[in-house]
Amino acid sequence: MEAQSLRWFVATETRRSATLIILWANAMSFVLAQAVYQRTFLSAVDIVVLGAICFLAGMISLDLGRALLSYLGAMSIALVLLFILAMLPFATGSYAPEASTVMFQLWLSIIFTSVFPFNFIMLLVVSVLGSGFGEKYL
Amino acid sequence: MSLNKRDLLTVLLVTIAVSSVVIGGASTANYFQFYSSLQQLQLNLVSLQWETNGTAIDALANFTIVNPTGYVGLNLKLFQGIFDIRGINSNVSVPFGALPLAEAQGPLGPGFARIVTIPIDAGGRQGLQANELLQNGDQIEFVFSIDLVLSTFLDKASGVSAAYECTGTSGPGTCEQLSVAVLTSSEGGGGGGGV
Repeated sequence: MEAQSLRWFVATETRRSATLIILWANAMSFVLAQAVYQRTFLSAVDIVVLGAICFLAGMISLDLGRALLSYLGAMSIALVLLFILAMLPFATGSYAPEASTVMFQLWLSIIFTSVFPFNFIMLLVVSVLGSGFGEKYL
Repeated sequence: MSLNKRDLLTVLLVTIAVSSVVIGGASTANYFQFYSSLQQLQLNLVSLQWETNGTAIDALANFTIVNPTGYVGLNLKLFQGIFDIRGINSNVSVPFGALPLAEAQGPLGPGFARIVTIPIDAGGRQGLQANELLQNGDQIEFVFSIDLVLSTFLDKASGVSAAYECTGTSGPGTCEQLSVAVLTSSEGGGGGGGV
């Protein structure tokens, strides 16, 4: 019964793509979170883990075009989620407005420089490679 | 029900996504306490002892720095400041300049109290001025303006410091946090309010 309800998420290509994007974004977002909330920037291990996630998700997507679009969607969701989590402590109103402004700019800069352009392009390439691998071997 | 290779990989991605939420969630929960740990970081003047020889004042100030929150990742990089000796009755203030640098670097773990001991030799012309206050029957108090320069996970992007003012006559004194500043390297300085 449970397996049947789980099947619903991958029953059609559209549902599978939507599920894939959510899982992909979720995985990338929290790998990025543990990196930037502890060390500000990504370590080599973080990049390898992100690469593995992108390769795997690319394989699942099977199709190059779908992999590209899914990657862009997942990365956008992941970065927005990461930024929202970074600014969440300031939503309580316990801090001065200047503090929120400074941290807004700082986090925008940290997240942008962590991902763009090198890591973003590299992960895109890895996703495409994953989709090619999936197309050939799955 | 049999799973094909694609479904198996999807299950693997689910596992990775759940694991990353668990691992990343712990870091995120710790991060959520970061700003309150700066706001609540306590500097206490635990004891102040001093004596005068008529020309100079020798003092020993003991401070503790306590992180009362559960945040893990705060480190003390530098304990620096200036101090004045002020006549309580006359309200005359004698500035002495920088405090001696203290060996105080180290982690400020949850609930941990880092002890900083500062020996003070208040001599020279200012020492004479401070002694004059005493000779005129005035009571003196020490006023410390202290900056705690902190090392945090934001080190690569910015610097964080907390400013305090501590006053004491002898024995324990009182400290008040004045501000918390986040200095961004691109701007050369930017305010971040902790208070």
